[in-house]
Amino acid sequence: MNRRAACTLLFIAVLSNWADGQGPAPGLSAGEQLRLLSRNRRLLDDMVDRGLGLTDANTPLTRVDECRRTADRLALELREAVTRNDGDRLAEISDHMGVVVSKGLVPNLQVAREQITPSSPDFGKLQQIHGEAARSLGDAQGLFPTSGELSKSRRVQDAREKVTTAMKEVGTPDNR
Amino acid sequence: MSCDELQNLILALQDPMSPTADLLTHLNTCAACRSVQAQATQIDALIAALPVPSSAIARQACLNRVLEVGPVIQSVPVTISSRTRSGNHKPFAPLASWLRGMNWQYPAGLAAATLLAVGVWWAIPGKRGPAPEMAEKPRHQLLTQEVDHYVKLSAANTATARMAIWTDWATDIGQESRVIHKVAQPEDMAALAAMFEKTVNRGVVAQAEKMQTVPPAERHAALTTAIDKLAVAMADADALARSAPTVTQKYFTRMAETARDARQILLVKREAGI
Repeated sequence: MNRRAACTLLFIAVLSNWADGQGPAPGLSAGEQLRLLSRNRRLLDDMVDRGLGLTDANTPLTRVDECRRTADRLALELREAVTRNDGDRLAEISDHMGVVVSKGLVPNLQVAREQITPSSPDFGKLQQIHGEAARSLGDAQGLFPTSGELSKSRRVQDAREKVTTAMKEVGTPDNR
Repeated sequence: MSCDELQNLILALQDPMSPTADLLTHLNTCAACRSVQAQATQIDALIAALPVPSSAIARQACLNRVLEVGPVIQSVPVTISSRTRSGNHKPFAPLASWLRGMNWQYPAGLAAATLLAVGVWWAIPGKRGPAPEMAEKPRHQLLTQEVDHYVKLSAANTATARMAIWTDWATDIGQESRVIHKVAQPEDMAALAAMFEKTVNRGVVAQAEKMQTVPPAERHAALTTAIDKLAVAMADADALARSAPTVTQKYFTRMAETARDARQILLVKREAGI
């Protein structure tokens, strides 16, 4: 082994370490962005529609219901990602679902539960919407594979954990 | 045989002037080999003419003179590669020397055994840890932005806040269309133009219609912000309606008209104070 070989090995080691530490490229080419748009076109349009629905929802309870519908829409994407064996897509959509639930559904549910007492006329509606939200998230969690290559992916396990956390945050309707 | 091989045979002859029959046949037709034969003959004659010491004492004295002169090669010419190996330029000289002197048989054997073991481990199916993760694929920024706008809407309690969110949402869609328009298919651009229209008309303008109860100063400031952002979106779309590839120009024209109309409505509301 001579000095040149040692330097080459050192360079390769440094390069490998650097490459290993790289995340997704920050700037995408127009072609890559177009590919993402083509895949998400329908979901993006549905998100606009869901946003318009949310804008028209004037009470915390109706907002909870809107957020639950959006979580259901995202669950459709989760299902498709599982079918395609696409762990990255599972992780991406799970992140979005986690955000919608923890920053949209849960805060509005808490406000609704504070405002609507068991004697309120809307209490039954609250229990029903809460139950539907819990079921939706339970169904979403059930979509994650528990066997096979996809289930072994750390990224997919993390994604499943996020949906599980969201499900726990929502909880189940109680008997007040 | 080639001339080189025949010339070697000539040099190996006891007497270059007495070649074999094969050589003789060749020498009759090859001037180069005849020249070599002549040189060999001349060298033999010169060697024969050298003085020979007459006695054992004289031979010993002759040998001593040769030994006193020393080796025939006195020094090795310095070349570039040998200079780099010289002492002053070799900070790793001891290590290199140690490595050169090392017996590589055992490390090589160990490396081969390790490779063999890894190969066997891979070949035998069994329970292993999770496979190493590939680098994550890039995520769609517009989708992330839309989710962000969505959760902001879920906490927005006023028309002012909602109008601001919808203005940003429309701006992000416009930005996406500018990034991809050179490679986009008409259906992609049509979808973005439709989304832009929806966010502007049913989002921005619809919320502006609900601002009657908002205090005038707040309403004026909110409308001004939205008007300015729509003006930028309109100017960008107008520019691309002229410079973009022909198949996408009409979608930018549509987006520019959408922004222009909405901006006009907001301007009227701001000036009228309603």
